[in-house]
Amino acid sequence: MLVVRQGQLAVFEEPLLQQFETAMLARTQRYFPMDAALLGEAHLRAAIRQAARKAFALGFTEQSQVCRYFDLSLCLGTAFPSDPLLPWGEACLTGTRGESGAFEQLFDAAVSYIEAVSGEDGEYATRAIVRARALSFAEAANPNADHGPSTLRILRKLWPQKFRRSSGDDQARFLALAGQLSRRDDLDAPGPRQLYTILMFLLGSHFARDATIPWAREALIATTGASPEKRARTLYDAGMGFIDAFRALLPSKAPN
Amino acid sequence: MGKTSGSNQITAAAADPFAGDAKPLAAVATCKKGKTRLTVHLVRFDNGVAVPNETVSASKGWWPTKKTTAGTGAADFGEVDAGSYSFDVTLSTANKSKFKPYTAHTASVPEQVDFHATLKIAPVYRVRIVLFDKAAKATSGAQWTMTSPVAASGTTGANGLIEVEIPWRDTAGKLTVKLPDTGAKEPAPAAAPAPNPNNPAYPLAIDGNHFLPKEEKAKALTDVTLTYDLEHITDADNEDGWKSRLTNLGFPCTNDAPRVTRSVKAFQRLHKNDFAGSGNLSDVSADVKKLHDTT
Repeated sequence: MLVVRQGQLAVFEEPLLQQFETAMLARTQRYFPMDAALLGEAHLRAAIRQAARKAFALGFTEQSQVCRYFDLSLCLGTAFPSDPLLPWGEACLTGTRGESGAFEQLFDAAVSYIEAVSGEDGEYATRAIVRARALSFAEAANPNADHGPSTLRILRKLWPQKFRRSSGDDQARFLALAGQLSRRDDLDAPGPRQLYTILMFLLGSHFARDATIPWAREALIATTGASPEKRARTLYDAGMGFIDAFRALLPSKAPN
Repeated sequence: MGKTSGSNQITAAAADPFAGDAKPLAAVATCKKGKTRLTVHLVRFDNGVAVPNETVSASKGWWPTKKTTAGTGAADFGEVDAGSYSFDVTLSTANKSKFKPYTAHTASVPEQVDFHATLKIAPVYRVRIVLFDKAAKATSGAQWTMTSPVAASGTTGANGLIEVEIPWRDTAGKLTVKLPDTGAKEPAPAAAPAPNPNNPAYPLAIDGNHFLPKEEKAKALTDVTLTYDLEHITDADNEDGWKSRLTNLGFPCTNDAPRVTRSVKAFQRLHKNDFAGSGNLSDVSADVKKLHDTT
C-alpha cells in the first residue's frame, strides 16, 4: 500500500479542499438528500473533510476515489475499513491482491455488502433504524446486559440482514472492540456498554468519532465527567432525537 | 448520516462525472524552493512502525535506490523531476522471511511539491510450535493438522517444529497433534520380595506395581488438541523481549521477580544441564533468543 502523508494533506486543505467540499456539498444534496438535510452544511463539510483525510491516509488520493469513499462513509461510517463487522474492508487493503486496484476492489465489495445488508434502496437499514426507535432506554441500556448472547440477540432482532453477514469471529472481535471503545468513552458499565454496542452496530463501529454522526460526539462531549449511566441516557436521547428527525423526512409510506 | 442509503444510491452517485475524475488531489503541496522533492517512508502495515536499513526505489525511467534511515524509516531522494514514479522495496536477507514481498505500484509526483510517499509492507505472521519430550529432545514424526485459522497439515522433522503462516489478524487457532508411538515404555518398578507368611515384616515393603495406573490411564498420550490465542511478543533484545520468549518456551515470566528467577533456573536445568543455575535472566538471554527465534 502507498500512503501520501500529512504533508500533502495539510496543503490540500487550502484551497483545494474547499473547492472539493463545495462540489461535494452540491453532489451530496443531489444523491444523498436525506443525509444532507440531517447534517446541515457545517457538519456536512466536516464529514467531507474527515472522509477525505481518511481516504488520503489509506492512499486514495484521486478525486474519484475520495469522492466515492465519502459516499461509502455516509452509508457505513467514515472508518469502515477498520470495522470488525466489515472484514472485507481490511482484506481489500492488505495488498495481497495487488494494490493498484485496491480502491476498486474496496468499492465493489462495499456495494455488494450494502445491497445485501441495507437493500437496493436502503429498505433494510431504514427498518433497522425504525426498530431501534422502539427500544426503550431500559432495554437498550439494560444494567443486567451480559455483553454476549443477550446483546447479540438484540442486534439480530434489530437488523437481521446485517447480523447474518457477520461470522462468529467477526462478532467476537466486534464485542471486544465495543468493550474497548466504551471504556475509552467512559461508558464502562453493563447497561451503557450495551447501548454503545447497539449504536456501533447500527451506525458503524467508530460512530463516536465519526463526523457523519455529530450528535453522538456532541452528546459525549456535553456529559464529560458524568457517570456512565448519565452519559448513556444523554446518548440515548440524542439518538432517539436523530431517529425522529430521520423519520420526519421519510416518505409517508415508510417501511416499518 | 442516515446510514440508510442503498446500493442504488451509491452506484448512481458513482456514475456522476465528478466521481469519475481521476485527477490527483494530492498535487498541491508547494515546495518552498519551487523545486520538486521526494521522500519515501517505509513502515509496517500492521502497526505503522518504521522499517530502517532497507532499500527502496523510486523509478522514472531510471532506478535510483536509497536506504531507509534508522528511526524514521525515511529515504530522501532529494530534488527529482515531476512525473509518474514506480515505487518498490528490495528487502534485505534478514527481512525477507519476515515480510511479504512488496508489490510495486505507481504514484504521480507533481511539479514543485515536497512529495512524501509511505510504502507499507506486510509482515509474515507464523505460528511456530516446537514439540519436545521430557528430556527436551525434539519430537520428530508427529503428524499435525491445523483446522483454523488456516487448514494445514504435516509431520514434524528432526527439529520437532510445526510452522504455519497465518493471516495477521487471526490470532486464534486450533491444532491437533498425533504424537508418534515409539513403543518405548518406562521400566516397571521393582517387585517387592515375597512376604514370609509366618513372619510378616513391618512395615510392609512397598510394591511399585501397586501404584501403576489403570490400564486405560497407562496408555501413552498420542493425540493432543491445542486451542490457542496468540499475543504479540516484544521483539526487542531487552528484558521484556527475553521474558516474552522465555514464557513462550514454557517458562512463565511475570513481573514477579522470584517467578522469573525460578523460570530461569528451570531453563538452565533443562536446556543447559546446569543444576546450580544463577537464575539471572541476562545469563540465558542469548540462549533463549537463539532457541526461540531460530529453532
